Amino acid sequence: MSTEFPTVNTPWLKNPDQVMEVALRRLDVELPADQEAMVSSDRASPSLKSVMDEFVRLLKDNPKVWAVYATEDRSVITIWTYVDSHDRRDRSPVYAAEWHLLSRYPKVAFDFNVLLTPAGSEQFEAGSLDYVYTR
Amino acid sequence: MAKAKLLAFLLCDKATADPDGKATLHGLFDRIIVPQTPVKPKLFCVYYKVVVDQPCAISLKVFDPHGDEVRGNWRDVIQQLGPIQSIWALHTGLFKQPGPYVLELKQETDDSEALSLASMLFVVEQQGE
Repeated sequence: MSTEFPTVNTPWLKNPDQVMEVALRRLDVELPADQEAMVSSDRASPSLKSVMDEFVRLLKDNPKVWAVYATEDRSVITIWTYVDSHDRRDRSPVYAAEWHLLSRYPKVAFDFNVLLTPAGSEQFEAGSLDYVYTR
Repeated sequence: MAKAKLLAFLLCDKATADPDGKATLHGLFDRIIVPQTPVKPKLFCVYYKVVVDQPCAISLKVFDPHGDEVRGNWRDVIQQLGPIQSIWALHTGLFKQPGPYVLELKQETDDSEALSLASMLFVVEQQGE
């Protein structure tokens, strides 16, 4: 008969696998300036709006997700998702949606960020952002 | 005012997380040897663990051997109180010139001056030196 002593550790702010995955993609697109234009035109990537509409569609039924915004810079799409909860169960669907984008658009470099803040705690100026969704 | 207490600040080749949060850091190091001929940059991790007393932002600053800042987007906004761990990804291509670099972990405060939590020396050597 054996006795188990489960051990657990501190929560992660970001999934390290995702961090490395994003960094690897970003590294692949950060080529010298004379090659950058070629990469941009070769990317044949979907539009930011279509990617983000898809992302929001996966999350809009989660009442804890109260805002999403995104910017696009040098072929990298940075996405911020605002969650009004500290419960891991409310965040898991966000990570699942992020994985969905990573697997659906393997040639797009994403930088995902999740902020756990009360709904309405931040205002978004649509003009300065490439994509904004608020509940 | 300190809003976070530092528990760990390390460089490693790779970090992985188990479903229960356990961290495994592979290949801890404190210096790199760059080849004389250009090669594809290699990714590595800056790992840190803090205990957060109040929501704050933690950022990493990198300074080259001349004291000039190496620009990068290494900043985490932490709302969750208590212990938390995270990584940033860096790559060897950022460290072009040999010499001692300084990696400084900072906590951003409401006033203009960020509070230094820790700094480490990171030595870049040229192969064959």
